[in-house]
Amino acid sequence: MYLKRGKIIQMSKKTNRLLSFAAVLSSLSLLAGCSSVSAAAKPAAAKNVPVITFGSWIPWSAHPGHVKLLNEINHANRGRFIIKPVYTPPSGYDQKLLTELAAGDAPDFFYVDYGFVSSFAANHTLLALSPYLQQLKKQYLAANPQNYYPASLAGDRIGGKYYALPFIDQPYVMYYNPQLFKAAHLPMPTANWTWTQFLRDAKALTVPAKHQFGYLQASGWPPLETYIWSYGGHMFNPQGTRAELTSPADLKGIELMQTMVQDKIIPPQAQIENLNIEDLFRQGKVAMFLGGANDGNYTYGNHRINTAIAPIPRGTQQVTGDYVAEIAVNAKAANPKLVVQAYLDILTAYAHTHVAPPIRQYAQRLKTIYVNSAPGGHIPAARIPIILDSMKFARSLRPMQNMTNYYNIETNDLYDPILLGTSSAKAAAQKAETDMNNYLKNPNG
Amino acid sequence: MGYLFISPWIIGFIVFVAGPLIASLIISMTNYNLLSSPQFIGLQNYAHMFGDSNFWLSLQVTFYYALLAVPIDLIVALVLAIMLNQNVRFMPLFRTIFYLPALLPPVAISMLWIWILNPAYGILNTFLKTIGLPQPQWFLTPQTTVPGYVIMSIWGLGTWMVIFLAGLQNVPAELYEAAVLDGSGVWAKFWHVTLPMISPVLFFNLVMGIVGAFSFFTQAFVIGQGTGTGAGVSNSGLFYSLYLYQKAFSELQMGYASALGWALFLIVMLLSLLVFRSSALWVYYGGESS
Repeated sequence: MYLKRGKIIQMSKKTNRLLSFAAVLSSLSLLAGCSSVSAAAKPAAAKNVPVITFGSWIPWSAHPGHVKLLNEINHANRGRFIIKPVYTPPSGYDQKLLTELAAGDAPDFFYVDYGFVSSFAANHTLLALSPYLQQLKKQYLAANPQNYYPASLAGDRIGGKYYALPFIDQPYVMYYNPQLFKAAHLPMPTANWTWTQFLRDAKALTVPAKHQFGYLQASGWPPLETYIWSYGGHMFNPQGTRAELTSPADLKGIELMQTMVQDKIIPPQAQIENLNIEDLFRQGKVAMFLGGANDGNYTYGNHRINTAIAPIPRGTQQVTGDYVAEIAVNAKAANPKLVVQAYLDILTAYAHTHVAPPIRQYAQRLKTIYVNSAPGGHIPAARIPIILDSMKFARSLRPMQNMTNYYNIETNDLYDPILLGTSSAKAAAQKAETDMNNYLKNPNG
Repeated sequence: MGYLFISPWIIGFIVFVAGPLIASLIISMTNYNLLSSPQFIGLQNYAHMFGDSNFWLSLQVTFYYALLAVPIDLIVALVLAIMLNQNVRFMPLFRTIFYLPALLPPVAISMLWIWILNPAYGILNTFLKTIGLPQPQWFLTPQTTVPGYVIMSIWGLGTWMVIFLAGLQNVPAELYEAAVLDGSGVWAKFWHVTLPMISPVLFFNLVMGIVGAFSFFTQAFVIGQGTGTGAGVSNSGLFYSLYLYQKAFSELQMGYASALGWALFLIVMLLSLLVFRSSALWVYYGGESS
């Protein structure tokens, strides 16, 4: 509809003013919304109360338990500080953290992958915690390294100082399917079972007609180190200057993996490529699976499943590996003492929610920890002594420079050739030893 | 005044192209891990390449892929374009169907082909088993990893096919009529009329194919995630761009990664120059004097 020109102008002016007002209003709204991506998560900050940012790979909104404990911490420290979580998806977490550290924009404290602590510390991006821990150790159990399981701190102490502390220490345990054991008329695994018994059981549990396998070994998981350590091997000499993969003890561990292939107790690699391998255990297609204590394996989808755990079989000794995840403090954090206190509050809170707490005193209270998927919301009583014992004999990987190259050598020289049947254990160990020694001389080569 | 009008482009070019190029060149002469300040080391990163076995391996994998994929893809795309240039009913529908895979994102394509090429239950091996042919292990053996990627590349030829189709449709019909009058058969028409007339298009696709082959990354990255090193069994899928990415973002060697980037630029430039130089022998532009 056309209007007379005068009217249009008049209406345009009025409309323009209205439109301008609307534009300003919407821009302000947009800016307010964009001013913080996690504006919805930002707690209502009182004036001058420091906001301490905490970077993690956990989506806090998806974990009501975490939100609750964070609110409790913030409430307990109102007027002193407010902790604000900053979430990054796990797959891009390391890259984003690196970029933020390079830009000087990283959170005040943050999750850090086990392999990165030493390189971050060497580049002075992490706060040396030791002086602060010394001051605060009477206030917080988490501030005293003596309270931790020693294996959980393996990657945290550099040059005599602590640069990170673990918030979770999951020992590896052997999950098994009791129904499949019963069906095969096998006794359940015991605390002292050996790799020989394990292999015998796995053979009996492998039923090709049912596409059922006794065990599962993929390229990279379970870690070869677990087998090597259980036979007394160490992979490297005590100084960490020479690889010893061809030593009799190390070779026995590597040969164990070859035996699994030769005995056909594990699925062919082609069948498990790009699959969630733990799902195969939950589906009942694999009778035994080596996993972290926190994995639980209580459910598959929405269905409860019957699983149990046993310690890792012993070779010449009882050893298992563990998964440790750390939190560290940004070296550029303003007011480091306050940030460390917030950090210790989080570590303490996590010790009441994660399986398993790396702090001994809190680990003894494992049965009180709420586990959403577990029957009755708590770890079954039968599992607790196994987890606690496993934490005592757990060992962590030796932290090394450029862990990517270390893993690449393991995969290219050990896992893939043995699991694909293209090399013997001895030949693979020889090649891996040569490449590891070259890696030790030049980790970035 | 003219400069004022083109200033947005100039600013964009400086900020997003020239600036990062110069920065990358400077960083390539430093030891820089993002966490501490860059340390100038001159040409050490470039010298290091000569002794880096993975550098040569990545070049080998990439060259192998380019040598297989580029000619095969060109031939298949041309054959498809010729077929789709016929006067047949429902031709627009056929053209759409053949072009559709080119519209899919590379990540989605990779996920799809992980399943198609699965040695145990993928449909390709199931088909090969049905007709009594051996079933390769594809991404699980070094020998068949790159051929697996080449097969994937054939599936996404839509763009080249469309470009060839445009070239074919611009070949003057009277040339074919003249050829028929001279007694030419199908092959002679193709060799003496079609190929010379579409040679500029062929030249374009060849250059783009070389550039694309050497910057092959997404599929190798996604499919490689399913393997321990992220680059296939025994690094058989360690394409050059993937190696560059690993050096930069997994190992935090930004300086060396930048040097790898410049080396890649030089390699692709040299190859492109070779093709450009050779074009005088086989590319015919209509209107130029013979």
